[in-house]
Amino acid sequence: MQAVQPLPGSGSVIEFPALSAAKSERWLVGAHIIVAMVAVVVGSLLGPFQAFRRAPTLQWEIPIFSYYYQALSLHGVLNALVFTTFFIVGISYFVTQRSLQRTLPSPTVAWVSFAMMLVGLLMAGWALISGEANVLYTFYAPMIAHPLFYLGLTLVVVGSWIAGALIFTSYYQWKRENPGEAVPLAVFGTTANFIMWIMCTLGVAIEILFFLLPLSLGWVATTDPQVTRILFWFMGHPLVYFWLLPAYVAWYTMMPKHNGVTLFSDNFARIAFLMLMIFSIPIGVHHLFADPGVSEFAKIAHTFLTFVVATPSLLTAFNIAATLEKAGRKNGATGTLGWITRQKWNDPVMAGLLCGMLIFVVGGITGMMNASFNINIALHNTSWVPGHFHTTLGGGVFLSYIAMLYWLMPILRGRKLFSKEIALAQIYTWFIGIAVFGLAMGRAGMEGAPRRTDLGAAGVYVSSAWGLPLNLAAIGGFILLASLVLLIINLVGTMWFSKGEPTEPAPIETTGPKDTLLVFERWWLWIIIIIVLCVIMWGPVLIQGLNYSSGFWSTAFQMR
Amino acid sequence: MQEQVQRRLEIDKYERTYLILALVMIGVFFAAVVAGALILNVHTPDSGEFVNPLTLGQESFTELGLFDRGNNNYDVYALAQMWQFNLGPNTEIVANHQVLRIPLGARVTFHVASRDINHGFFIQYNNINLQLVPGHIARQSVLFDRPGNFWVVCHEYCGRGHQQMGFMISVEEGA
Repeated sequence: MQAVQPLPGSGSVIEFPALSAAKSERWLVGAHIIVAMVAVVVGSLLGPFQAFRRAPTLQWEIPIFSYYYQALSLHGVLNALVFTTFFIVGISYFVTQRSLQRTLPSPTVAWVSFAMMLVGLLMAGWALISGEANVLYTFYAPMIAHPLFYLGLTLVVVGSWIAGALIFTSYYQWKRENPGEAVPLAVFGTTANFIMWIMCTLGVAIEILFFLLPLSLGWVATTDPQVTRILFWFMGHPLVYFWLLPAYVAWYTMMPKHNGVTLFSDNFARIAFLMLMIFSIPIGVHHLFADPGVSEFAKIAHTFLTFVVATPSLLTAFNIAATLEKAGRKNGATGTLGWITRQKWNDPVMAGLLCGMLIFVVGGITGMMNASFNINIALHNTSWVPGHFHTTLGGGVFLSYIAMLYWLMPILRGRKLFSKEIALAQIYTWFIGIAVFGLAMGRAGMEGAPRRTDLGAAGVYVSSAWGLPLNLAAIGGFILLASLVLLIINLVGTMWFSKGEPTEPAPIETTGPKDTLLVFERWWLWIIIIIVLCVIMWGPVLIQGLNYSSGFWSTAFQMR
Repeated sequence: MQEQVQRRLEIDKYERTYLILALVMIGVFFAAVVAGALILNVHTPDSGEFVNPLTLGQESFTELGLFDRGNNNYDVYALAQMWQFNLGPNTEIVANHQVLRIPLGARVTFHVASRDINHGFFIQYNNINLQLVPGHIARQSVLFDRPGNFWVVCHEYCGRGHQQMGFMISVEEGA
């Protein structure tokens, strides 16, 4: 242990307790996690009722929010934007502080960031609940919501930028005090995630501040829908990696720690994180394959880089599987495949990570199918797409976050997890529910059932080929609803009713392996590469999409 | 005690084989996508022309519906608006929906534009999938080589009546 003198105002170097939270963690991390969990519980409760509404044999009304698209807007914004952002900021603070063994440089700034995000959530939440923002979470112009919706989302994003800046500062100070050492992998992944996030959200920041907000406030009368779609999807794909990278941090750094083994290859984990960071932004046109204002050449080029970005996930599959094999053999596995059954399938934390990984394989494969630009013609905006992203965000990412929650929440709260059995049941029912729902939605999509459509009220078209899969999706919804109830029981139970001390230590590694290359930490180089790639890949798309010859034509439509 | 550490990138021999196979797989996938476009002629919507959404029907798209161009080539001009497709005044109505009859074996180019907000234009079981972005003409061609009734639905959320927005294409022998 080197004797180091922390720089003034740089956060203090402390030893964190294994089974309880330090002062710098309990409330700050806790506040983010609580907001995240409230958001995801409310957001997810709305989900199954949409499946019930779309199922031909049920066609139930959506309770409370009688308007399908209002419920759908809330479901998307709360789950995909609010839950994720708050949870990621919270877990990133925890991981950064624990890995670097130091507190954040300024708790005050962290609280300011939290307050901004919370105020933003309340503003956007008010607009959504009062029916002033029935624009879904993609809010395509010239549909227009209440200005507070856009201001709120902006505050959430800017708050998360401040969180990123705090994490970078912590890392920088650690580096100053530990020259020549590789940063722990968890902080490496977290840093990559926030660099990507800050760069990509510039697109949506421009979209909101220069296009949507002025239109919503009535300062301008018309806009260009194609350009706003391009700006949105500049952010839209890295957004899904922003959700995924904390799950990868859990798989790469916490999963080995839970099993008492080391990661198979730390260097290749860093290569994977860097590739995800670099290649996630210049591929977003794969969300615009059906758009008339984007050239086919750009679509093919973005298809190519989308396939490139599958490489780090394939590397991850090998690295994680090899690490799991080490863990299984340590538990006494023999033979070629014995390590699979020797995983900790009856431990909620590991079960959550393992089920998350398994369902994410489906998400990855279906993702490559979406990304194949000619197959996309058959799938774009059909139910296939929500089928796909419920296996990624709703499956792999969500289960990995819940797995983290099952050790994090007891540590923050100072009570043990309310019920391990309920937690296990929750994980497995969620896994099955997502599998059923994803399969059913994918099937319905192949038969041409549209996504984001109130099929329960469709008067004109309903195809008999959609009946079976949409009913099956409702069964998936029932299972997920049951799983959600189990999650709520454990959340409330751990919060107020459980007895006894936490038992699961925080699975955070505080050192990097000795053979890790330092060249991976040349962040400025990677940032320059991202900028160059973005100019090459997005520049022509934006120039071509801009209707500069005749100005902006589209008038705004309020969605109430 | 200072231990001399060697920082280097080592790759396991299984991992190397796996990586090579993964890259080959990705290469094959990409080649298949490109082959689909070049050989099988499967194309995404054109980056077509700009159009003023406010004067559609007056300055452009003045004639809507199916047009025979000879040699089994057809054009369809249609407009989308909240919450219906406009296929021209002579469109047949069956039950409560419009029907567009297309002869079997026709190669049809669809030209569709939106008058207000984002809409979609998706033909069930046929390779037409258009995002109708106001300000642009969306265009895509397809060969109707199977008889039958196919729903055309708006697949982009466009407000309260979104789920009402659709019509039927009926592909018939000698229609």
